[in-house]
Amino acid sequence: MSRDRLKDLLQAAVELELSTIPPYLCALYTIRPVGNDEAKLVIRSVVVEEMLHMVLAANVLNAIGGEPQVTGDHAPRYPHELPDGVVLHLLPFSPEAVDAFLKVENPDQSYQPLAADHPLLGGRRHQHHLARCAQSAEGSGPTTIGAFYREIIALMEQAAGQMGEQQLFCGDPARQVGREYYYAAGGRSIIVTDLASARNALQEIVEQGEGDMGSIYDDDGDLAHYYRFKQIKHGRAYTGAAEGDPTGPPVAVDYDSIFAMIANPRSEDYTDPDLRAASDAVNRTWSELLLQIEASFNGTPEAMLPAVHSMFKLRDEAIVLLANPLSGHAGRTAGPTFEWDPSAQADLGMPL
Amino acid sequence: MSDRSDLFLGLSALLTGFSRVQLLGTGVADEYLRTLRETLPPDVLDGLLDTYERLPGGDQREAAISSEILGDSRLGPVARNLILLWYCGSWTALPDDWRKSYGTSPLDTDRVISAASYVAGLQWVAAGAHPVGARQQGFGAWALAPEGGTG
Amino acid sequence: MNGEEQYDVVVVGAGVNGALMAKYLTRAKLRVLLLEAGPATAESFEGYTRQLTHFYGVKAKGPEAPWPPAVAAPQPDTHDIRTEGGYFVQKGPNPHASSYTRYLGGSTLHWLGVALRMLPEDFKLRSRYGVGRDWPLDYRDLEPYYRKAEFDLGVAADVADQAHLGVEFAEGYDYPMRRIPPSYSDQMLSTAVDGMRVSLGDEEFTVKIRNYPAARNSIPRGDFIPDGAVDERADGQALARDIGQRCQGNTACTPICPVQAKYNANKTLAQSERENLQVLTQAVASKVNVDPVSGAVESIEYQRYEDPGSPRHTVHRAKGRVYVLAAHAVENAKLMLASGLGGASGQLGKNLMDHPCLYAWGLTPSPAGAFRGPLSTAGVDDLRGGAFRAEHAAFRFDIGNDGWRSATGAPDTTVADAVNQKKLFGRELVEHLASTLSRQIRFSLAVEQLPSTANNVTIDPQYLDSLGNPRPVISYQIDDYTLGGMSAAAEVARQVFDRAGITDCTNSEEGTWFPSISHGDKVFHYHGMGHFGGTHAMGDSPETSVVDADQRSWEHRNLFMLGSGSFPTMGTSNPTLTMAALTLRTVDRLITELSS
Repeated sequence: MSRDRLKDLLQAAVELELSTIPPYLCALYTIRPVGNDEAKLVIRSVVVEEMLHMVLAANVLNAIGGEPQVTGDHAPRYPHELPDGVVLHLLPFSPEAVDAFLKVENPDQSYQPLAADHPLLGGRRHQHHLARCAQSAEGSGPTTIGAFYREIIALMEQAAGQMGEQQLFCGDPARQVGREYYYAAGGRSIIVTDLASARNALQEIVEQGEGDMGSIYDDDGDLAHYYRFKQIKHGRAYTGAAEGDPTGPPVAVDYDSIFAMIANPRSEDYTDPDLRAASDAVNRTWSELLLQIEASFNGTPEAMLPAVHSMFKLRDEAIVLLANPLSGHAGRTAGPTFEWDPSAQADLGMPL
Repeated sequence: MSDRSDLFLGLSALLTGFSRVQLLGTGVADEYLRTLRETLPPDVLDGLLDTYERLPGGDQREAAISSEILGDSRLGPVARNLILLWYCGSWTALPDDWRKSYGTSPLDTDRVISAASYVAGLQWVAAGAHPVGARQQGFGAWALAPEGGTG
Repeated sequence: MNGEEQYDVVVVGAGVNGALMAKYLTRAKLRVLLLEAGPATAESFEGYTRQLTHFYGVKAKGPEAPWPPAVAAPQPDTHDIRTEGGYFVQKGPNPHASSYTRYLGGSTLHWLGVALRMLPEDFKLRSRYGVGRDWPLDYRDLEPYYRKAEFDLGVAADVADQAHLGVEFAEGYDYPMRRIPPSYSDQMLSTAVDGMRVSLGDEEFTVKIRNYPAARNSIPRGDFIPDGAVDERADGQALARDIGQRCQGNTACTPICPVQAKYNANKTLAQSERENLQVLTQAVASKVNVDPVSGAVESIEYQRYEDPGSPRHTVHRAKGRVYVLAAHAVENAKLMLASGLGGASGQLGKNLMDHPCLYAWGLTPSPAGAFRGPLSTAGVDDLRGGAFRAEHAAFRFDIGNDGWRSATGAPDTTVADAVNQKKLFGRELVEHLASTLSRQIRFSLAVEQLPSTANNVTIDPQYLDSLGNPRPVISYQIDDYTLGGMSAAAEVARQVFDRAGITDCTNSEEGTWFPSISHGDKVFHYHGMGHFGGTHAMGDSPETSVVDADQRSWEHRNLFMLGSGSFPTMGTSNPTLTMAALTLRTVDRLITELSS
């Protein structure tokens, strides 16, 4: 049944977009307060963009009668493998992290995964169910993320043709997250009610992710995120229409001015009870955030408002961990583990 | 971690009511120890940390810190200044009579230690709030009941 | 002297009025030169953030803290009132206790963002109540421009809250964004206070805690897109523009909104048609040259400096068809006087006003969540109008969300008291602060002031700044009309505190120092609201006013003077929205005239 297959793929898309967020947050929060201004701005703007992608995917899923899930087993675990074979790690701001962001931002590029024995990984790695869920319809190996979305669009068109557009887009419009509750990111939430708006929403994701490959600038004349990460990777700015690697004026990047969190931390790494409590607090807030996001996708769009508050709370609590040296890991600090806390409960509204 | 900074953190935790993890979590612990070292006459910081190290453990610790440190004419004003430092992120000039008795330095003036120390002030955490102009709580968070300070 | 450029319009001052002029004139294909005395650091997000970091690191965190002046463009600082030094020469008898900022963006860089309309009765104070002056236009003339200004500045409010005291809105109109959510303490107070009755003279009023319109980004209505941070960069790249599309509750509207969710004039400037706009920053207008026969302005001289830390400068001259002074009420008057253009009416520089303001502070019975949210989100507006205005000043309250910060220097002073006086430490200290700080509440009682020729800005050759330009010499007195309003305001505040179970802790001995003034057996400690008005008041006759209802100089017909300097009276609303509306009205007329 093509609706069920579409629902599975769109649910995978929601999880995919969600899973990119913690790695960016780790990079962002590990940058110390002073310096790396450009890197902070780029990463921040990518985070809000990935959030927008998740909202768009959820709107499409809702439009066809789905129920987007992001809690429990649907929450990401790190290291986290994407459908295209890219493995996401929780890393401090570092050349490795920037390389990984370049892969995520340019998903059609071929990918060289970090070796399993890379010192950053500490030998950990496991594949998330998402990677299996998102195998292409033909069942042949990992696809690219761009191809993954294009396939969803094609399937959707096919299903609309078979069962009729109105039958496919049977979702309750009240479940859509509109731009009054999700904003920023150089893009806007799109209310999905039919094939055209669904196509718009998914194309927005693909285009924002991949950029217009003909130019390094987007329609607003702004440098696409992929190229902003290249500026950080090379420590140089692009000038004019130049392509390839940037060779312009220096962009200040300081990989030493960071909190050097261990890669892919886990709760069990924190044996000190106070540190463990601080980590538990972060996970509780992360889980509250996921509950609020999930509620906003399931008939309570205004739950996006307290979700923003949770996001800021998460930042403040994560910074406490990041500033704590971790005993037994010379020169390294603790960091947020982004683990699901099943006991979390969240406020889903705000008195306006 | 050196012994001195370990002692400094232990003393700070006792004085401020915040755990070591929370104090380290401000990211400015080293900066504060350096501030004491640079601002106080050389023997005062050692006196403070040595006295702390000799305090009894367990239940008697709080009473002992009152008498041995906070009640001491040389160490008391410094310990209270250390509390203000953690809470406000700024150094407060020591009282004139203290300076006459125990010495002074050019850095012993009212000053914010750094932009980071201002943002890290524990007073905002205690208030269940955020520093003015930093660590914002997000749109509408002010409409929710306050969560109350945590130490 | 070198360099002469020819423009359609030469504008002096890049605050809200100059920016609105630049935006709409350039969009009408008119060529505009904008001269700004101060630096341009706030136009890039990186530069703006540097000012924020500067604020973090300074001990005195007053309204001017993030915005230190350039040597060549000095500005008043509220701290000067204590030291009797600084830019203003205060002749008294009372100090004028306000400040402004000379930067690209002007004082909108540190304004609170209150965007109230004036009341219809505010425009007719003389005919209604026999005091002050009437305006040469009324509320209905300005209403369409209020609407436009509310969209230009991005004002968040609900018409349902604001349609009272005779304020009417066009049919079907609502603000571009929903009201800013009321703070937790607003909600608490509302529950306790709404519906209480107070008397002023023979009149009874019902008091309500009311959300006020604010130029801060909130949830948009319809298709409105909130403007985020300004990020003008040489390479045209701007990563930060989507920051600040909602208020994030930094509790720092004054002195610096870190995310620029609150309006500042650089947002308007960024919307100008750039090819028609030349902005020169660090360019201090020093003289208006006029044709002695016709009175028409022929050019404006300005002093350009490279280094904000040095008075070294070069002198230039700018020419246009029309000249606009939008430099601030005090600076406009100062520049005209320095140019020998005091005028025949004798009104230039006169009628200086403010909203002198008292603090009342106390502790709420249960935690109110202080130190969160925008600096304030609600107030008491019910006593802005009424027959009592024949006897004493009207007033409005602003309810702070920042504890006792502005009144006593909390939380630092609260911590110092707990540690040094109460001798608290450890867990007891944490618990004491948690319970005390969260319960701190502060009201600002802002009181109307009437125009008086005794209150004025003059110049004196013995008081010059480092470029040789005159410093403003200020004569200022708070009269019995305003003092009567202060008395009434303080009494109403006391009653509201009582009703809400707030323990009144107002005590000038323990508060921050402010200038004092006696009224009978009472002593008031007042501060300024930064609302300068009246120095080139508009009117319907050249004998009694400086500009006409279009803000055009009676004596120099190609010269316009914009801003709250044009206000004949101040009412009780914060002046920015009204001056923006007046400017938009002037813009309309100017475009018609210059395009024909």
